[in-house]
Amino acid sequence: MAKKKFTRTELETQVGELQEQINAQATIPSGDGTMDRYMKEINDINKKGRVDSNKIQVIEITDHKNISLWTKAGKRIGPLHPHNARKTFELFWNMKIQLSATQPTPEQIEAYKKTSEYKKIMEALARSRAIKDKSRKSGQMEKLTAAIARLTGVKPEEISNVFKAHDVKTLSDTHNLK
Amino acid sequence: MFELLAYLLTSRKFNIMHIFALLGWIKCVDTTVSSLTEAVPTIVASALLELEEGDVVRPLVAQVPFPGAGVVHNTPFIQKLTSEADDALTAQALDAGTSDETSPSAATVGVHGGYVQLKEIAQLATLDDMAAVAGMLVGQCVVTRRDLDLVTLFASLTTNQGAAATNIAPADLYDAYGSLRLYFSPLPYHLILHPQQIWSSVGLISLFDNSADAIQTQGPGTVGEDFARYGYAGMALGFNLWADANIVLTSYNGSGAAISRQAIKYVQKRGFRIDIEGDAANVATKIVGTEIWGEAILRNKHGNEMQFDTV
Repeated sequence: MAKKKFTRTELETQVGELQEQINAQATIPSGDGTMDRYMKEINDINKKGRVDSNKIQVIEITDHKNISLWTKAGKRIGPLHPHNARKTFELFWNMKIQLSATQPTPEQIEAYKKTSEYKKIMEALARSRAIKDKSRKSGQMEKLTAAIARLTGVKPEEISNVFKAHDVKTLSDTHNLK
Repeated sequence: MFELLAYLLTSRKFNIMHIFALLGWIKCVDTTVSSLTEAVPTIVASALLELEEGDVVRPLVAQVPFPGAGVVHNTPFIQKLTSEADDALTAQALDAGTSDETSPSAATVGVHGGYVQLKEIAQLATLDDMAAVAGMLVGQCVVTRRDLDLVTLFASLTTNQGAAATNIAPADLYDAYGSLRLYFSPLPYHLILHPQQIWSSVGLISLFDNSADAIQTQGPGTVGEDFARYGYAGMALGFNLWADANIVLTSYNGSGAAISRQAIKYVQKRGFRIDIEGDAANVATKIVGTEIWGEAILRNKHGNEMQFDTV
């Protein structure tokens, strides 16, 4: 029997039909018992179905909506009752600090940080923190040691030189007793 | 084969049933795990509610009952008189000075609350008393809401001892105390911080650590002794110390406060009340808890914002 010759068009049509059949079968595969398929179907059931009998809904109720105010540097004040927000806005405005009811974007914050106003504020803050941070514990012992060294004529390292445990000699080592 | 069987039987270590099992003529049947599991009941303990911070700030501020008419509680300020420093007779008079406070202080009361829709099936099916659980949920919601409304006022105080990206130092407490005293704030003074502003490597507790690599104290009866022994001190540098986890942290930075009682006023119109109504359409019961209150800065100069880092 002679082989039938197919034209290119007929072949492409047959391939298309076969592909459609494969796709149709893929949506409802039969005989596919893999764990992936199992979990997928379980997830679909959980998503499409809903059971609320084991849920307790808690809803907060209020008769006003609070609002936050924002500084130019992105610091948040609030959320406040709208009347408190207005009072706070007026208070800071009188102190020449402009607040906004709109949160500044990261780009706006970055742009503000490059202004001379921000630099002035940061310089004042740095001066204030330099004084305040001196009061922290670190450095106080060293100051005291230096003062004692000055008064007694001894080196500061000798005053605060505490031996580690392995450097401490026993009595027998010191007197070469055997 | 038969000699082997005979030996096994005469050895008295095996009986005929063992032999039949060896030969595969019978199978020893074990009880399956699944059937046992289905028969054993699952015991469910009483549910535990997620924990929240309680009512920390309200007892520390001025509490003003506000029954009767009106929704805005105004507190006006009367400016003090100052005497002239000049010796001239004509100049010896009392003049009105400038007020350190913004007058009036107005607090608008509003309704705050929460409700739970308790389904009948949930109530019937659980071992716990779900109505009691619902009441606790509503109560917690209202208490947290009130504390949040109060702590979010801290950033409204115009004097800030700290800043963003700043660690607390002893001088911040000196300055806060000085600021409150300067404006005649009555004692006691309270320092309210986020727990991590107290207990962290850069927190308040680090100011009482004598050394960077060891826990030491300054001696018996000192605040450092309290922190070293109990991990907590009730007072520090003249302030009663309070930890409030409702203070919001942003980028490891938060705003606590050092206040005297009159820094903030809490105005209560109506106390907490529970209302219960049936919701037949949803086969449920609505449990509604509400309270009516308002809050505002009263004396701005009687409080300092304490904005510090936690790490």
